Amino acid sequence: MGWQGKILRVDLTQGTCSAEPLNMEWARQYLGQRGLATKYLAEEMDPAADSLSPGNKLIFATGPLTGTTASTGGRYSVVTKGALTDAIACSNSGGHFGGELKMAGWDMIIFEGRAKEPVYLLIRDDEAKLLPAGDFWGKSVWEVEPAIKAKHQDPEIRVASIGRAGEEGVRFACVMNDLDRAAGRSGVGAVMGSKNLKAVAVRGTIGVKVRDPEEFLRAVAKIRSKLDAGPGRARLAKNGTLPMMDVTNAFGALPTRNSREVQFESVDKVNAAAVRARRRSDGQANLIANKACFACSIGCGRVATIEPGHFSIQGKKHYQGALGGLEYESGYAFGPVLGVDDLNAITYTNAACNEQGMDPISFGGTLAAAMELFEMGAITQKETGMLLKFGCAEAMVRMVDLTGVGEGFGRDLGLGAKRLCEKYGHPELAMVSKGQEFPGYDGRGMQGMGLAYATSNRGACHLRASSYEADFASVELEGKALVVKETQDVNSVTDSAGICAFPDYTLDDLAAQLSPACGEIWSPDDLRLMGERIWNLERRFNLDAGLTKDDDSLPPRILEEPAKTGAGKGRVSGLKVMLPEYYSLRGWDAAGVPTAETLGRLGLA
Amino acid sequence: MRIKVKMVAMNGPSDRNGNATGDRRIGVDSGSALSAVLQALNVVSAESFMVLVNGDAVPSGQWPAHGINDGDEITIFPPIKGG
Ligand code: SF4
Repeated sequence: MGWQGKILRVDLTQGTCSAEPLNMEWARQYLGQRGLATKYLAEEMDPAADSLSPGNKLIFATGPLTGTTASTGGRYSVVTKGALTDAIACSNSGGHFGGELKMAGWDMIIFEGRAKEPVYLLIRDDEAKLLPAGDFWGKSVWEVEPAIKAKHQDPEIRVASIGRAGEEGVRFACVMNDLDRAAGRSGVGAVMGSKNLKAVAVRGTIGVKVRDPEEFLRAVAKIRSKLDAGPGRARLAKNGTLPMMDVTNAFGALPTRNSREVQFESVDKVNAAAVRARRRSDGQANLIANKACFACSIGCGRVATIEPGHFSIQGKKHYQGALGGLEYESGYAFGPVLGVDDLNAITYTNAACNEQGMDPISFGGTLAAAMELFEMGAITQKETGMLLKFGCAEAMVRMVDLTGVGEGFGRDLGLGAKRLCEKYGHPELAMVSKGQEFPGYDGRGMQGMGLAYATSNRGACHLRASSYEADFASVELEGKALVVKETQDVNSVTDSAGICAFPDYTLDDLAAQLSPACGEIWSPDDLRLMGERIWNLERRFNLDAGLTKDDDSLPPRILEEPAKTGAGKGRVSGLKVMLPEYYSLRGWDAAGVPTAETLGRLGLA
Repeated sequence: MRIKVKMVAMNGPSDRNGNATGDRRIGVDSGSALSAVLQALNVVSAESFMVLVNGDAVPSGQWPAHGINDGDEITIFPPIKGG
């Protein structure tokens, strides 16, 4: 209960699908989604296997609250060894696909091997089969999703697919569902493409049962009212996550022009106010509506339009209506970090990433590195085919088109910042941790965030820890290691439960809903320990994959070049001071390896 | 003395474009503590607001002791999380 108790195993090499019972002992220890899928992955594959080889596995996993009425209970995760990072990857997505998969009766799908020809998986409740996807290969996400629905004459089918980027092996390709929701980070879409798996289509009518419906509904109603009354909900519903742009800019932690600067002079053209301002040409604002994922009472999703006549959409009819709008990370990744202030071009680039299935943060971070390489002369027009200067919206639009289909200089950009900068002899210019590009926070102003990037198991990430309040309150190092460690543990639980990270859920809220859903008695402390167990399991996967403490790092720019302005002016990241403290709080030795005692305490020995 | 106050990323009040941020200049008594200025602005709860003075973060524990000078710029924003 809460769990469906059933997983689907798909052997792509053999072309078979089979049902098996969920390992309930593991479910009680690792909950679901991120935690439980990582447990299966770690048990079943060699972490040292090449991420794009058939030896890697790809898991789509729901959590116990996915498909229930718990607010935001529609999440699923894609867990694998990441093509971008060669580390554990877990990318979480909303929309409606996760709820549908759970309602079809499955907790998880494990894909193994590699299909000889392109295939897609069709699930209708208990029935699952692999079908040829030759007709769909070469199509974008926006083409394949309606095509699958039309083929099976069922508009209610939910689809998760890869676009051209996943087929072409773009290292930061996503798995997309519901047209513009993404399991976005670490290259999970490239792994899916390497398996010749184009899409997963699912229709679920079985529903989800909980162990104690009365108690569960009482807890859900109470927590929904609490979330509704909080200031976070009003802000997210009205402006999504974009208000962060003004905050990081004011604070001086908004990575600008590949983190050379930390404040963007044109922030007013790309912030929450800018997307609401009416355009002179057509009287419309960029932002036209908000929308919500399955069971979400917040609705932070954005719907936007591009100004008619803008150069980016000439001859592209399918971009001339409503599109997925900007949130903070996409606004940052196509704006400040590239020095671009053309809101229409930024909106276009975001939509183009959705169409071909690419992670906006990584595309922006990689293009930012390429622009710096270009400006210093390490690459020239011979490679790029055009001027690639910071601030050039035309270059951004051209490059997102090329990268999405793996053509021209887009092939180089598809390598991601780390491999691109290594190729052109300047690895120091890649703003990455464990090979993954930075989200929109600078680790010199926001010291906790720098530590969070360096220690994130999936590479630089703004969602694995939550040091925002501590960072905005003070630029000092004191206390940051503890905040990072503790919030990493809490967020590991959130990501394993089937709900979204945005609402202000506490462990009490989670325990109150998870216990009656699953028929277990979990206290907030039990869940905290579970989160710590999940974190250490991921760490061990990475160590077994060959990562070392040297991978818990930040680029020289963040460690050695002081921030020029903002609250962190004159400072570099204090990672060298914070990291040993973090290891000790985690119960790891000086090499960042969990001690036998720690593993024993967490049941990982 | 006069100081500048910037409200960033607030839910309201909105201007006619729905812009929820705002800059204004206000007069305060010379020698005022930051906490007194914030109180006058109805920014009282340390859990609900973060504060920069001339771009530097000032933790809430230091608000009562932090003196405000003529021409200072105070930036106030809610403790928002990322996404
Ligand atoms: S808060 Fe936003 S991302 Fe999270 S479930 Fe709701 S609409 Fe989706």
